[in-house]
Amino acid sequence: MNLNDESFITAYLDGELDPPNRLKVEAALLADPKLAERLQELSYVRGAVSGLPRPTVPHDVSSQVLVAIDHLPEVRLRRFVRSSIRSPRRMGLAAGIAAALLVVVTIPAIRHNGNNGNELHNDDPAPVVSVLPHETNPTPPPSVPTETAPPPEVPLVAVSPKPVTTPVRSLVPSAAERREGKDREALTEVLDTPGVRRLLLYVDSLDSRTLNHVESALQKTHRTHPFRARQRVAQSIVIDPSQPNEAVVYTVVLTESERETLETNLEESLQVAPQSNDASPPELVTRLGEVGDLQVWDSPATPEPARIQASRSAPEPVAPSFGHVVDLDPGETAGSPLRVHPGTIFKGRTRKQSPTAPKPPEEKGTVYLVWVTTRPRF
Amino acid sequence: MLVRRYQDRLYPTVLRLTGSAEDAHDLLQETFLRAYRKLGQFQGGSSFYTWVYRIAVNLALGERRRRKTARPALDLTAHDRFDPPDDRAQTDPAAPLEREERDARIQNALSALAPDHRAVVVLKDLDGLRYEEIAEMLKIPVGTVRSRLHRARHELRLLLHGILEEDHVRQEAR
Repeated sequence: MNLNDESFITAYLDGELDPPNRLKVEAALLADPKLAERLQELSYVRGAVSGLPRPTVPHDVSSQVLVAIDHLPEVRLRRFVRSSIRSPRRMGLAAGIAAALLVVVTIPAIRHNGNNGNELHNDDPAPVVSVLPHETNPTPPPSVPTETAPPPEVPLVAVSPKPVTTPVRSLVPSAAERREGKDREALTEVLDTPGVRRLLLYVDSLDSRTLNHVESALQKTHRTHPFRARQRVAQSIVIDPSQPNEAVVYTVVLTESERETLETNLEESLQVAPQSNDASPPELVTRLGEVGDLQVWDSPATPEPARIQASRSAPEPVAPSFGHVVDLDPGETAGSPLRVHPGTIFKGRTRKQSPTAPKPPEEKGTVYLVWVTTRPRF
Repeated sequence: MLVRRYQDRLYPTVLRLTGSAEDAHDLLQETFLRAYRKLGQFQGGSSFYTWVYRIAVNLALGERRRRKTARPALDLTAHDRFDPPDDRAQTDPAAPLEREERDARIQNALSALAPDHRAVVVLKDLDGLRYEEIAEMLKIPVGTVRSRLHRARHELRLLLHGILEEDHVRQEAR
């Protein structure tokens, strides 16, 4: 320490010196009364500033902040997406939701390095993270809506000119690495990437084992976040009428208010009241279009974990039970296929996997989507 | 809810950094708006308050730097513009008014400092941050924090000469 540098008496005053240097300064202060006088003056100055009152804000700024947030471009986009969800086109409802979500995903615009798939930049679409069971084909099924056609008065939708389904990044290269939690690490890494606000997870399997795994990975990846105090998981299985052999599973991680909005929109579009999802997540809120049978596998004859298989048979005409909410509790429906009518809403819950259950066969051509939103809750 | 929770904690800091209640109010709004928009960048490595605090401080410093040319800093000899010392006792009925005036003079002196100097004083003496924390927040070395703080207090000592004299007189009167 150079005692000619008087800034050390400031550090001494603030208690920022280690013991040896503190002793040196004290010795210097004893030897030099002028230095001691300056220390006293600095102490007065410090006291004058620290004695300033700490006034409270004269006018609550929260209302102005909320108004300002409401006028942000991204919030206006969200409003547009929701108004799209309210469209009366019932058959395309869920696909519309997915398309809207996919568009929203492009807004954070994370640039991806196409060579190694690891570096993220700011101008490309948000990463679409693929959760692929080992030895499966990572190609997303064709039924996934990749783009939406916004009206020209919403220019923000055109932020990302690139396909929103790329780049795809494999989270789970092997079952062994999955057991080691590599997928969670990868998920955490993506979630921690600056700018990432939403995330899509693709799984080309509809079995509950993979579904549970993804949910588990998400839950264990959850970070304490003041704005994410309450998040709910809503899931839906959608079969696109134009692609009736393809089932699409959506898992939407929503804030509480967004969940309420989604349910309101579903209610308006389907003219039915979706049941409240007050039970512990995950739950299934399912709308099936022009499809045939839905099987819930959970019976002594099929000691597999509960899983849902959507399959195509002859389309049924619109049934009188349109909009009827069917409980997908496997205890009631096990062993026998459910007849699925257009517009039927299924509500159920995924089951915990039995430890003795054999690995279920993987279903190809289905998609599992997760939308992670970080919308602040002011 | 979060705005209400943190606005009163942030307001004094922003007020002292800007020197204007109106600017502080506007900057507080801008702070929460920016926090909303940058939420994806919040890493969770620090507390949420620390993160918002950092945004508020940076915004306030940026605002002051922006206005630096429009608002010339006071000359270091400006202490003579302050009122002469008054030795009336603290129990005087006029004491609250005097206190208000005294605070205003201290704030004026703070506002006369260069933004970089004012920042270290506010963060240290008002908010009680340690040198390391200030260095991290302002992205400067710890030694720079120390030297800036020393120079800033030296300037304040000159600017607040009148107040220090008053306090000295009062103490001797007791």
